[in-house]
Amino acid sequence: MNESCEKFQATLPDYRWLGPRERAPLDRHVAECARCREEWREAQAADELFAETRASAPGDLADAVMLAIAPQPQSAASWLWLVLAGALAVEVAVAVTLQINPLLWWRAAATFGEEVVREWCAPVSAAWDWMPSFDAALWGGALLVVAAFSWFTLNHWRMEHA
Amino acid sequence: MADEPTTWSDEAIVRRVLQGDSPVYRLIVERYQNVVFACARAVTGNDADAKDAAQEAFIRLYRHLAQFDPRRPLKPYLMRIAVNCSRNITGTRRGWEPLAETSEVVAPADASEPERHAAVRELVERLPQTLREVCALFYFAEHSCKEVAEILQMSESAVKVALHRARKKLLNDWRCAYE
Repeated sequence: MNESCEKFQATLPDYRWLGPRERAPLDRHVAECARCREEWREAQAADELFAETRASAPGDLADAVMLAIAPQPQSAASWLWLVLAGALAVEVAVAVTLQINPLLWWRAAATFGEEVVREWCAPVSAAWDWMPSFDAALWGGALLVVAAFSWFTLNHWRMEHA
Repeated sequence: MADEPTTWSDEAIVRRVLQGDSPVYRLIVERYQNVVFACARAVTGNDADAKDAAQEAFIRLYRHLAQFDPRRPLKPYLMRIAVNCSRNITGTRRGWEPLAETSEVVAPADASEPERHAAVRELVERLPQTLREVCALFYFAEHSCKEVAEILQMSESAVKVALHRARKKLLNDWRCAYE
């Protein structure tokens, strides 16, 4: 194998991107060298075989992609998060403006709720005895809601970035 | 017509998508779907997985478009994503495992065109994974050896050796099947 053969072997894979001027010396070499001519024929035959296996995309691929990337409507969880965040922001803003301790809102809501439930449960005193502290139940419920929303949000984020 | 959307450059389309014109992304999908699917088909070895891989590749490209510099060529970036998606689906990394069993492929002398294509496809599936990826990018995506090397993070000489080996093996197997 001489220098021209080595140059030919190195350039053969990219032959299709060469211009006429760059192809000319390679074509001359192929005409003169039997070994490189054989290599050239094999490359042509392999090119033809690969061309036969080229598959075309299914007709619905573009639709499927566009459907997948279409903006999704805001999920129920994210709307509830927005409502909770809005309520908290309003509470803090009012508390700061009126210089009231924000926890007083919570206490007021808890006391009001407890009185309503007491009124409902008055005919069935046993039910009231069974209930735990209303304040503790309210805190527990609030923590559960926050935990559930956190889980939904985390899951949603994981799916988005998978 | 110079302003026909199908004649827009990749850069122009990407810039429009980044400005919020998402429907224009369809032009990118339609422009490259055959190339991406053909490569995914060669790597995964079946149509269903290839469709999933191609779809995932376009979705990932869309999601990461903000991190892409539109002045750079889009196709190699997309093809790298497509190869990674195909690898994820087949559960393989770059390696030397063939997809198809090594049972003998015998193509009848009077094989119809679809039969002949199926036989060639099976022979391609017998190539080791790395050779399939190189061939897919070189033959189907029509990348140069240098571009294939960049996409697969190999040296250019390794790509040329892989192409040479793939050609030899494919032709030998083909002759064995037909002769």
